[in-house]
Amino acid sequence: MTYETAPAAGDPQRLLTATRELALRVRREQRGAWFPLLVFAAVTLAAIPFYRYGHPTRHCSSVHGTHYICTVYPALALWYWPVALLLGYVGISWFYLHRARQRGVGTRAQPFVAFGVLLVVLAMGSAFGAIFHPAVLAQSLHLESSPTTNVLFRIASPAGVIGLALLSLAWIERSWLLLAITAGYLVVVVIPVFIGSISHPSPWAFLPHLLLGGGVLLLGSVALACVQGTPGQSAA
Amino acid sequence: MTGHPVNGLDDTVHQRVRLGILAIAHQARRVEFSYLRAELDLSPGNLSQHLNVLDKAGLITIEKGYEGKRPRTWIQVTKAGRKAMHQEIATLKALIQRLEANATY
Repeated sequence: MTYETAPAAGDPQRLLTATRELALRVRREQRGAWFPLLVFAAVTLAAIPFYRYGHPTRHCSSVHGTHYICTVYPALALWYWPVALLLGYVGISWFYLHRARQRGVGTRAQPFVAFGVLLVVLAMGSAFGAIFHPAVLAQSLHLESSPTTNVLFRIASPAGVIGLALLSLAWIERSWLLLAITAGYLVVVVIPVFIGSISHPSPWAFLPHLLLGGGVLLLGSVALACVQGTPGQSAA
Repeated sequence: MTGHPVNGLDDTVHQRVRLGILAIAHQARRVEFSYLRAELDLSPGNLSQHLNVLDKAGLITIEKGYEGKRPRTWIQVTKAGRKAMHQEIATLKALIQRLEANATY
């Protein structure tokens, strides 16, 4: 005689449901995207003095030995972004590791940090290449400026690189809210391509773009902190 | 797997607490003993027994150490543990399908 007859459908179903709920609870505990958003907002807003007080620098190179093509760039800001973003990723890594130790649950943030650092290196490499070899860039684009190439330039900018990294974090944390915030942020990053650029003589011409991008990131951070919970709280 | 899906169930994994341990550790990559104890609502002795079963089966690794002066025990799922957990979930799904199909007769 046995006490265990054929299991009712409810038993394996209950076991599966309980297992899924446990996995979901752990995933919610691991979420902490409010902090990277806060770091990126701070990095974006802290760039303001580097744009305002950095002297514009010009670099020229010849095309076919007959024409010259020049790029004018804010030298201080150019150096600011890679340093600030890499320091930001150090801070983000520390935050996730500290939280993992505090809560007793490992973190899934390493791929996000690795991807983010890789994007920074690639974007900055292409930016330095474009500035110091503008002729090569112009030839590769056939001296044409289309919306597609402009969008690509915006995506390869520091702001675009932040957006791409956040997309990867939204996927890692399986967070629809972070995905929505990142989509909104990327729209803000790309939108100048479609509304066109107006040549401003003002030394503060860069300000609206940085304020808007930083503002979206800051508001997103607050929204995520309210929904997901900060380290002192349990995740919602 | 052949025959009835119930034949595919692994006795080591097919247990509410042990499947829970594997699910949490798989999701967390690395999980601390105290977290598991709180999540699964178990006594330390009970949890240790289940962990030993999984450890002996090669489904998890247990790492003991200190953080400052505080002793810590970290649990990680092995490749075999991940495979066993996925296999168990697939078997449970197949079993549910079979039981639901039989229930219609």
